[in-house]
Amino acid sequence: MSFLPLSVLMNSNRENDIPVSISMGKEKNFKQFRDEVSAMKARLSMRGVTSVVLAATSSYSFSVGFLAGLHAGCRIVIPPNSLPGMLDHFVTEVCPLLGDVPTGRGDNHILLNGETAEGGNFTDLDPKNCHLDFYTSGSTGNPKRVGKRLSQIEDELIILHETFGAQLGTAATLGTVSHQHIYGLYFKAFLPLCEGRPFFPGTFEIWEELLAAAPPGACFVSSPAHLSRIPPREPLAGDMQPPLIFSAGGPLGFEAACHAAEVFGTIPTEIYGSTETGGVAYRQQKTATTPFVPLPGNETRVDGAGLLSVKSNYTDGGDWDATNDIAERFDDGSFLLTGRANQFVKIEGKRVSLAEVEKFLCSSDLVRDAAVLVLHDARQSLSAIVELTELGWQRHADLGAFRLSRHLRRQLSRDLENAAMPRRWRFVRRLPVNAQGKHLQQALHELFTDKGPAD
Amino acid sequence: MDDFELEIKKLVIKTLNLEDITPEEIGSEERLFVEGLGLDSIDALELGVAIQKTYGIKINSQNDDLKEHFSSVRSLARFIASERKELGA
Repeated sequence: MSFLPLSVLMNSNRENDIPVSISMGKEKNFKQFRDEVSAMKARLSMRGVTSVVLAATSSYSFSVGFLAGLHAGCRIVIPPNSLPGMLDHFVTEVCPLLGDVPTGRGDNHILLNGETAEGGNFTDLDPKNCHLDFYTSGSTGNPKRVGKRLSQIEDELIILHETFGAQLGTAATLGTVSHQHIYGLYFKAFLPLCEGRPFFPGTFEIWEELLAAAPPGACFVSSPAHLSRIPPREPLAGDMQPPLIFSAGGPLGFEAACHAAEVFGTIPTEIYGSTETGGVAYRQQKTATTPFVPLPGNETRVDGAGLLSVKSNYTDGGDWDATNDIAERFDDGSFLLTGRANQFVKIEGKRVSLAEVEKFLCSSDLVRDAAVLVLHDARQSLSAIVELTELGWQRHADLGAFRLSRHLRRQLSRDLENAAMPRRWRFVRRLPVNAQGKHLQQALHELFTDKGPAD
Repeated sequence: MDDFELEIKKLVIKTLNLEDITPEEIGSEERLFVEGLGLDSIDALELGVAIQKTYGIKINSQNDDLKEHFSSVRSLARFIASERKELGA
């Protein structure tokens, strides 16, 4: 199968009947895809918008919106999720939402509804003049913009194709991760699209559903959250085994990698990278100390404190980017990750800013002050210590600690993904603080050392 | 059936390490996910694994309305009981 860059795909001679997506046993082929892009491009052009917020539940709709937006000359804003609080940050009259689920935003929402227009006229995109804005958790608690040009995305996809394309062949792709993050976007949607392989547009939440839908020899795009929670089952038969299983978002435990290999017949291929740097390195954990090897075009170095920096041909200016990871680096540029460096933590593969969670918690009228930390228990759970307001204590008396914690989680769910919501809670009269008003980390951790009374 | 529902409530609390709640405080018909007990998708994965390990049943997404079976302790109890009967256990 020939690889076609995104910038030329719409104007290419790719055959009409090449499958793009498979959903509920129904295939959408390239002609359908092109006609949907064509119709949406016309709608966007007619409306005259120059930027859109793209957030869809389906990777297929997302891909339609992405190419339609670029062909209509729009800058595309890609939020990390489509929670209402997140979309509120970005959606305006001049930067409407392009999405596939009704949101009650009226004219500020252009619905990706599968409309088609035949015989659309496309010219090649200029990849250096197509702009995308990705967003990740920022250290101040607000989303942080990471700008990219289409040319950078294309260069990366070519490297991924050269590295993995031969093994992938014509494999269909199914994912447990979202395309709103760059890893899912590349591996679950764009790489298959460019390579002419079909992808399943939904995000599978449980393995049983993914395995029931998977055609023989399909590729899985997953994460440590799922690969460390494979249900007990017989190993997959030879023809059902995936040629490649991808994992990204955080380190996959060696035991989990071995168990996945037993069940699926393939050791997961871990991708190390970030929104800023894109894909940097990869490995298959044959042993507990298999290092990550840089993808072509990437260089690594560590500073005196062990902080890993990455230089990629695919980032702006090709300069060194400091990561948030501590690494042990070997002479050939490969490396092992040994820890995280700052206030960001990784929970279930999602980058979480503790400051952001604290900010949203404190916005509740039940909460006076809050501290959030990560406990190194079995689930690496996020834990919250909350100083309640008078109203908060009343609710505490009515509901009890558990129900109150669930109530606060529901309040947070407007702004935070599941992984970023605290699982363990302690309600206190006063947060332990030092003379400078800083939270005392050790005292906070001690609140969780044994199961004591809630307050 | 009530004893079995209590057993499942204990399994939910133990598997998910829920704190500040006793099995008796979970309603048998209370929603487990999003509303009610407020469990999330990772909890669903862990609960699915624990149930299959504990009761030796297989969860098969093709035949069953999984969301419905996992909607409350009562529906889970019914689901597990009928699956075990099928296994002849």
